[in-house]
This record gives sequence, structure tokens and C-alpha cells, in this order.
Amino acid sequence: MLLFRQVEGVTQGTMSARREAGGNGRRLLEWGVLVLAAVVGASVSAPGITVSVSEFSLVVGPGSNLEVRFTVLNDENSPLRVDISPCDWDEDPDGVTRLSRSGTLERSCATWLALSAPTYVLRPADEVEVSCGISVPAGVAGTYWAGLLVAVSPVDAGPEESGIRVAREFLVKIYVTSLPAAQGAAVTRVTALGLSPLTIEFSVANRGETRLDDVLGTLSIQSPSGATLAETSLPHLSILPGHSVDAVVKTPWSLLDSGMFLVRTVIDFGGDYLVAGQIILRVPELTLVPLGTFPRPPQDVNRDGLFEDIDGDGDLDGADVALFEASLDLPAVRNNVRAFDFDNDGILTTADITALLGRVLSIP
Amino acid sequence: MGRRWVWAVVLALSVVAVAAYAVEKSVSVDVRWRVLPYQTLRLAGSSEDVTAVSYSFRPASALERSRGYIEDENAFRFRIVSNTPWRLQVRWATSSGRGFPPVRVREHGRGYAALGDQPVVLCSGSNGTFDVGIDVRVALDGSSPDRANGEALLVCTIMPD
Repeated sequence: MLLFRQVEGVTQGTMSARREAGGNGRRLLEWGVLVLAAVVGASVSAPGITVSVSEFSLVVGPGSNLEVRFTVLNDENSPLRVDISPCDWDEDPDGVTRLSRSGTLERSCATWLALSAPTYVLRPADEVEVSCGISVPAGVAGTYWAGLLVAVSPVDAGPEESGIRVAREFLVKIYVTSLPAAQGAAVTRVTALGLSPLTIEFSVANRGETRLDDVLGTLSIQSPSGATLAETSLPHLSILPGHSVDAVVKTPWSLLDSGMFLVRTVIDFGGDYLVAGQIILRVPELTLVPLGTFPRPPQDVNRDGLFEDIDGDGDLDGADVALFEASLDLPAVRNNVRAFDFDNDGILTTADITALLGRVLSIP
Repeated sequence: MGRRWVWAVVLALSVVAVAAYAVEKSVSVDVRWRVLPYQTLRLAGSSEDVTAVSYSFRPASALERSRGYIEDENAFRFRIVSNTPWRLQVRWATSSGRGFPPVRVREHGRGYAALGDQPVVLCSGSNGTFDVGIDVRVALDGSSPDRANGEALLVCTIMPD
């Protein structure tokens, strides 16, 4: 039984239909949707090879049998061979999608897929509809995923030469969520990277069985008395079951004054409750003293929380960069990290010298 | 005249009854529609020839020999059309058995990535149309590229991000 989203789009489109009477009306409706999809597709087409659907997200019941379809269009001037095969995929911590053999990864649904045909030859302007049956086993719960790898190669590759030949592939992602299934999430880490502006890194883990597709949230800063000083929205996240996602939020605020602040992230993962994570951020008092032979301590010339005018002469120039480089390892600098963290990563390194130089060079 | 009115009333009541029955038995359809993500990938060589999807090693100039590499900017060009955020990953195909060629690639203007049989993200984008130039840098080991290296297959995979 298809509970929510039934994919019928040949060109592009999802359709969810609740019917009290079947028959011709449904067929007419489907054709209408397909014609509309074709019109939309035609209006944005460009010469090349086009795969009409790059992602299917299906919500089903256990034991369902369904079918997804998409088209492959050759809009180039030479015939192409198209090979389609199911595969597994996951993402490494750096966000790179790794492809694996079908059925080798946990929560793979690649073995549920049955293609209508694995290979096609498309002449110029040819279009083929690919059909893929999906048989959901009974007794599975939650989100399972796989991919259809659409590999495109010229029919006539020509003689081999010494060089590089480019092959194109499309990865059509397929998510199948079998309900009912448990949902859950947790904020596992909140870290302040830099203070000028305040930049927060946080991690959200998917502790449930379903893919969390539209995770929303807010980041707020509160005073010790509980008053909210500022609040901003977090980027939307998508998290697979058993995975976690790291995200960095660069806020528009700089923490100029010392004190203690509560930094809190509240996450709405689509379940019945919210999850949150928080840290107490201690912004230390600055103890700036003159560096080198200069009479004045470093100055914050533009009130952004960073003390770019290292020699305190009121100007930002190459002399400040030279003095900062010579003083980087002195306690007078090391004890005031937030004043000199020009690359805003929370630590003092030679990258801060480069960042300060960039600021000097950007002065018109 | 009276009978005519009676017939008229009966006819009117019949029409109302049939209409009510029809409403009760009518089809109720609730349709929700959204455009699915799609992607187009066009590949062109530097000559804008769509079929020119290969890059041939060429003899190095004196300058290239002195600096140790051949660099060809925009050796390939991709045109990507997508209505959803996308990502393009590249890797060497492992079928040749001749090892990986001494070649690095990058999105034009960005940093070169070392390539192997594991994919790296070459470029990514949001929805829209994107023209991406691919630069090629061929390392020289004191001479022109070894022609015995043969042809290496660079696999470019586009996917929703």
C-alpha cells in the first residue's frame, strides 16, 4: 500500500492521489500530469544527456510493490550507450558520496530493485523510459536507500589514444521509507569556533530509523539571566539513519564584551518533540599591552572585536602585519586570542598573519 | 393546468434527487504536485565539439618542461542544468591496470585535487544552469608524458546534493 507519495512522473513529478472511484479518471489525471511535466521539462532543457528524475523519495508500507520511472534523453549529435545498474552509496565525513556494490551496505535497498532493462542505445534526440520495480520486504521499518547508476558512453569511442577520456555518470538516488518506524535525533556537539563574528559548529545525529529530510533549528545566545540576546535560523539538514551531520553557522554578531553566555541550538527534526544542545561560552577579559617598542597597545579600529592596529598608531598597514608576525608567540598575544583571531577559527596560527595581511591589502 | 404543475413539481424533485445522488457518488480527487529533481549534463571539449570528450597528451614546451608540468585550462567544459542542488564528483576508472596517470584536475580557478579510484568532489552548485571549466595539469618526469600510459578514463558522476 502506498501511503503518501506515489511516483508516476515520466519526466518529472510526484503525485499523491486519494480516490474514491477508479478507472478512466485516474488515467486521464496521470496523462495530464505527464503532459504538464513534459512542458516543464522542455522549457528548461539544454543540449546534453538528461535524466528526468535524480531522486525518488518513497513512503510505503511493508510488503509493498511499486514502480518508479524516469526518462533518459540524448540531446546530443552522436549516439550514446546508456548502462543502468543498482548500486549502494553512502557519504564519508567529508561529504563525498562513495559508491559500493549493490547490497553491500547496511540499510541498502538495492536488492529490492528490478530494472526493466539494463542497457539502451540512444540515437540523437532519442528518449527512453526506464522502469524500475521496487519490492519492499515484509517486516522492514524505516528508511532504506540505494542508487541507480546511469553510465553514459559513446557508441563509437574511436581508437584509443594517449590521454584522458571522460565518462559521464548520473546517480539517481532512491529512498524507500517503510512505515511505521521510529524517529529520533540528538544534538551531539556544540562548539564555538570564533567570536568575531560568532561562529558555531554543531552536530546532529539521527537516532531513529527514518531519514530526516528537513531538519530545522535555531541558534540563540542568552545572557546568564536567561534573556535572549540574539537568535538566528540554522541551515536545513538532511540526515540518514545512523548518520550524523556537522554544520557551521556564521552568525552576524560579534561578542565584543567579556562575560558568560549560553549558546543553544534547538532542533526540530520532524518528530513529536524538539532536541537541543548548549554550551556556556566564556568570553575572557582582554589584557592588551603595547607590543615591541610602541607606546600604545593594539587598537580595534572598526569595533569588530579584532585588534588589527597592532602597533596602536591608528593606522592599519604593513607595519602592523610585521609586528604581529614578530609577536605571534609572545604571551601578550597568546593570552588574548580573541583579539587577534583574524581568521576566526578560535586558535592563533600563522593563518592569522595571512588573514591580517589580507585585511591590509584590501584597504583601497 | 393543475396536472401540468404537478408534473413540473415531480420533474423538479426528480432532478434535485438525481443531482443529490450524483454529488453523493461523485469522484473526489485530491492531487498534490511538485516538480521532481532532474539533471542535465553536457560535456564539451575545448573546441566546443560535443563529441570531443577526450584530452590527448601533447609534447611539452620548453617552459612547461622547466616548470615540470603541462597545464591546459578549460580542457573540458561541463554545462550542468539542475533544478536542485547538485554535486559533480570525479575519479579514475580502475580497469586499465596501468596505474593512475600523473594528471590532476580542478574546477577552473580552484585548487587541484589528487585523483585516485576514490571520488573527490570537483564542484557543486544550487539549482540553475552552470558552465564549469575543467583544468588539467599533467606532471612531467623530465620529459613529455609517457605515451605508453595509454588512455585513462576519468569518470564524472553528477548527483543531487
